[in-house]
Amino acid sequence: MAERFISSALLALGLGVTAWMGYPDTVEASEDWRADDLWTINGSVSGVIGDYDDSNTRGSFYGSGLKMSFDYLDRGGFTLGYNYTHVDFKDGQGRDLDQAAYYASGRLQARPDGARGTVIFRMDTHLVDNDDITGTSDGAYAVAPIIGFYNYDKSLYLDLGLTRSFYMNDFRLMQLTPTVGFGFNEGSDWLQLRGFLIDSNNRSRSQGEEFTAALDIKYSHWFAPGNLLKIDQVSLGGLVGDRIHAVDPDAASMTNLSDVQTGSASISGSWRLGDVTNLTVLGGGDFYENVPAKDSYRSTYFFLNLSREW
Amino acid sequence: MSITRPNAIRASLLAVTVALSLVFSTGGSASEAEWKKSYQLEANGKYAQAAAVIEALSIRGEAREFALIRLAWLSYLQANYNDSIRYYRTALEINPHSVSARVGITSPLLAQQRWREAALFAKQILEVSPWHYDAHVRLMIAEEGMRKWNTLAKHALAVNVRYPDDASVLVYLARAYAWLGNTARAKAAYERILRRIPGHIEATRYMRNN
Repeated sequence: MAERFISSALLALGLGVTAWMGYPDTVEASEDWRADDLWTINGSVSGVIGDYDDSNTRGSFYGSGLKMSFDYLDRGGFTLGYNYTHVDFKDGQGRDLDQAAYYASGRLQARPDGARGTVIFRMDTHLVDNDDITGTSDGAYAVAPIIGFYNYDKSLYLDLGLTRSFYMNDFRLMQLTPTVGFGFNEGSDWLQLRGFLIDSNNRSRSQGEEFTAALDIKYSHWFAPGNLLKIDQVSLGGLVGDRIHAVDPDAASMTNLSDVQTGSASISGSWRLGDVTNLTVLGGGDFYENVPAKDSYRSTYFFLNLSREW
Repeated sequence: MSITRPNAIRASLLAVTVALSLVFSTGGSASEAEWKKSYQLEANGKYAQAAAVIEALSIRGEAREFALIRLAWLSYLQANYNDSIRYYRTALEINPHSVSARVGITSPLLAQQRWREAALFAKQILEVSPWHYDAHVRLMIAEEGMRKWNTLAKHALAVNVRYPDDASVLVYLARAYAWLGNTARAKAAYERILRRIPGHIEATRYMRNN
């Protein structure tokens, strides 16, 4: 665990130093005007490492991910993603778990003149495959259509997602995620509120909860150029309320963990490394509760994402 | 007085010629009047009426391409960006070599923040006309929208060499340097702007704050 953490930290440090060094002092004039870029491709690799503090059963986890997005001009596109996660259980508390999560998403953009903004039609799909010996979290999948809107001023964002999640043995959940975001201070600040309203068809599979409600709050600030840390953006996130088996449209993730999430807090920073490369570092903690096992614990993690555009 | 056969033919031909010239001259005057009325309505800010006057001309006829470009412009002025794009695209179908339609279509695309598509049309112009000023400016706006500061700085530097007296290009150069964190070069660019436009608001503010 320590080795993995150190290697991740070194990677972050190396990339951070690159960002700190900034850009070359001289810029050579360019005269390349080829009109051949119909598609924009964005690829990202990520890594996460974390511990389950105070858990009776879980020890630690780590994972990695790969995501590729393809966008045709400004009209739409699709994204494919893969995530691998390994969970270490404490001695005598079960077999370690290996999990693969697959993600596919398509989107179309429309700009009705009356709306003065962009309407996004999006369809996300998730599939989780793991070696859970109980079988309760394996083979889960979700389908999530989302309709969103942001205005040209980038001062308002709205979306509504409806997610249907399916687990083995006829366990199903329906999730509604109404979202509103506001930009202010001439676009340098952003506040987003996303509700997670989740309905379960089987209380015995969802910690005795038939319905959970949570509010995800995220504040982002974009820095003026030339700041000391060369940082582009900082975000603070938090979750209040309860949610179970949530599907997060921002993180493009499906939580098949059966415990109730009772809160979270996170902080992240992003650096632009030139025009096409971006580094994001995120640290945070999620709070969970397993009611039948009387196990309340915290998951603390460190996440790193490096993306590049072609 | 009898009219001989050749004379009759000559008279008939004359009558036809007069009739045809009357038809065409009437048509030409009407068309010219429509254009004039359209320009007057536009000057008075009545863009919808200005478009309505020439709409029929965009369906068929020799003036169709120009009518489409003008309708596209008038739609853009009304913030009917999708109509504007549609008219420009139809004009491009009629004349795929049109630089005018390509310059024109970048305006509604940029208004809709379709940076990549606007950049594509601007680059298509630059492929046939490498130092087309408007195309460069539209491309720089798109690069700024995409926050491609390195690309914008390189681009603005190249255009500045060709248009050394132009302040707009220097504004993009200065902004790019500022976002790249190169304050010294940004200030140098803003100083050059102030020599061209004394009191330039953005340049004055940057020089005061940095």
